[in-house]
Amino acid sequence: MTNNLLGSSKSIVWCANRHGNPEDSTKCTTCGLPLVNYKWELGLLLERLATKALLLGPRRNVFMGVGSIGGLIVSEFHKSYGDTVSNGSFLLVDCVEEGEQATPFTGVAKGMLPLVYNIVGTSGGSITYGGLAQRIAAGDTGLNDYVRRSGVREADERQAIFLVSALGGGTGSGMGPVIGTRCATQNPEASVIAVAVIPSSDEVDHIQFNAYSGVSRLLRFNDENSADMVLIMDYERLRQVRGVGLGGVELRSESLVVTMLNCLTGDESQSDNQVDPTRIARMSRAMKVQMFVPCLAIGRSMEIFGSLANVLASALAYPLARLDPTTVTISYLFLRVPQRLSRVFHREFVREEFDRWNKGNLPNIRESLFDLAYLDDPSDRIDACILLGGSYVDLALGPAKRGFARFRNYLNRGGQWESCGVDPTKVEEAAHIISLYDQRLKELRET
Amino acid sequence: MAETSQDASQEMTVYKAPWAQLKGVGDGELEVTRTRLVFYKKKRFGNPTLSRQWDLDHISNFGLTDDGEAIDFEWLNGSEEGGQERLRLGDKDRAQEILDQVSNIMEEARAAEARQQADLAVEAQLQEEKLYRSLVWNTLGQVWSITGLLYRVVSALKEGRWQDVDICLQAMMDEADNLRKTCHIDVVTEVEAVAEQAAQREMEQVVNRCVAALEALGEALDSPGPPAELVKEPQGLTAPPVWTDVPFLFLFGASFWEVLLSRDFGEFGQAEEYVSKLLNLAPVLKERFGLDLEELLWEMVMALKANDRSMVSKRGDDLTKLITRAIEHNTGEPEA
Repeated sequence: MTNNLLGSSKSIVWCANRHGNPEDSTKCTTCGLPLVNYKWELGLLLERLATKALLLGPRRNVFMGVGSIGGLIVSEFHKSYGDTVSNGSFLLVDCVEEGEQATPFTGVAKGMLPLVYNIVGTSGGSITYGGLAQRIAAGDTGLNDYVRRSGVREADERQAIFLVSALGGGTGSGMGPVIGTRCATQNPEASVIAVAVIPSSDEVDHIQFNAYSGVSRLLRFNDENSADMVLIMDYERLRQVRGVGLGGVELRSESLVVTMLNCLTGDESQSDNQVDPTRIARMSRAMKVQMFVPCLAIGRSMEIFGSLANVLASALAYPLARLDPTTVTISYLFLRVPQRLSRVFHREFVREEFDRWNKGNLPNIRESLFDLAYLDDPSDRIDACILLGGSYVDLALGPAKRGFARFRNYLNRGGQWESCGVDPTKVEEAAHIISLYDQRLKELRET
Repeated sequence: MAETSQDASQEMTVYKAPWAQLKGVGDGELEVTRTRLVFYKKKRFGNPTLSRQWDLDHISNFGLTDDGEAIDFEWLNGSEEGGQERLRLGDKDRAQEILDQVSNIMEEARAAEARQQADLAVEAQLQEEKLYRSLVWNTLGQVWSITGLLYRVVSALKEGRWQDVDICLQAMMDEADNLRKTCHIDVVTEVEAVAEQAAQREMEQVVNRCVAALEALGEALDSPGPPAELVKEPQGLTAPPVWTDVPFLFLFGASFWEVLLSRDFGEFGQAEEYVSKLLNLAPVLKERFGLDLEELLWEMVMALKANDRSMVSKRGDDLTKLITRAIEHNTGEPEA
């Protein structure tokens, strides 16, 4: 197949002199003039122009998808809610093979176009180990620029950065924490909220190793917090939990995460309360609670569930990671209700119901906040997203911890630390950080 | 009767047979001109008088009879009248002579007509190419202008110069309207959306709508030929400009404006990256339009490296002038 001036059915690829050229050529084999891929160049130009909007002022909410799953979730979120996110921006970061070019965003543009940054790895294919990806990201010179261009800059305490990744792979577990610390450096006042999907219990040990190390680095990385809040979701549970979206569409897996992001950051004009992600991040910082387990009840029909208490109970019945309710000290509720139910679901009613539910289910609760938003939706379905903090990380990461321990033993026996991009001291440090975090939670609860 | 309205005497006689006999008419004289056969009937007293005449281009099957002393032919005039005639010359040589003369004249006429047809075809082709090139140049001019205006809007936003935004948008609306009318490329809705957001002073939305307008323009140009209803792409045309030069110049233009915009936003690294792209595209521009921009672009690189904003602007203006002049020269617009 050859390219010529008239191009293929896809797009124009030029040789100015209309010479045919083998596919993927960069210069004309006949006249030596550079070949130009029109659609590609146009995509890059659009992306560049779109980023100028980001430079006109700081962003309120920045959504970063790291790795293929993180990128997928943020892309889906952008496609579904991009035009309703006020003053937001999107950045997709992934790792590509050396020599491969970054692919501009090709989805349907809704609102602000997402920025795409592909970090070039040293070897072919995806990066298996978080340690390697972490090293590559740490040494990448373009990352800071992209973080800045996504709108993370200046000391703006109203800025929330959502760092979405799956921690089983190398890219999400290794690059996510690096990006988190870069964000914190560029805007020390911002709230970084990591949305981390941990692998199913049936995944192999090195994947569990990545996840455990990844969570540890999100909690603390190079003696700094890389995320103010880490929302942990077990992929196995994500697949089991079901929600109902607009028009009765069933929501599962990634689409639930997308809906959760929308609950947390939805249209402020529809919100009755002033609880936003930065406020809950600040409160969590003050309480020294970083890890949260989301509990979702999406699209629950009031005709069927009957009361808010029942909806909240259904959310707690399926926490997205393993959780001990008796250890929870903070709960945040983001509630979205159809406008037509606003007379029943008024602020005082929700406050009373939520307080009652907290006392009844979470015996050690210290602080709670709720956000109430009314939606222009003709149905009787409500969405509840509860974030519960204070439970132990060790419990949430049960299978990952066991896989981590086995893989550490394997490394200790074989000594192949370098090929995984980690050194023994860092591995011990990862375990120590989690243990220290849980220990501190315990002490705080007892005081 | 195959009478013609023109006076036969105006025609120059190329051959004359003093005696001929037209079947069904009688004896007389036969005259051959370059356009007609004319038969004059003899009278007992007085000069022969014009009896019949036939336009040569109405005559067919012109040939000798078996005895070689007469000529048979058929005629069919423009009024769908026709008939068969036999002219007896009484002499084989004379009959052959007339046959040769008439055949030569008819052959020459056919050749002349073929030449005329060819001339007309060439003329039509030249007209079509002229129309095509005019469309290409006009589109180039309007696309270059709209692209520049879109970037200037974003640049003006950077400093909150809303008055400049409004001025650019007014010009952009006019250009988009022209582009729709003359080139059938419609980005009016997208430009109106920019204006709508500008009216509400929604800075970020204005940029978003500029991106959408640029995308719509870019996608409309992503085609191998002009709108089919306007003009056909002439076959085998390679000399510039051709339609695919339009999207190329659009990319070059957008990349160039991106350089200046990145400079305005203080992104000198991005600007340098795009000057490199322009340097990569410059040989194509030289090849297609004879515009040698390499030196200018290198000066821009140096200015960007030195963070010299005014020099970047100066070289940017020079480059804009060169390209605009090239377009205006070919579209008949008054040159600045």
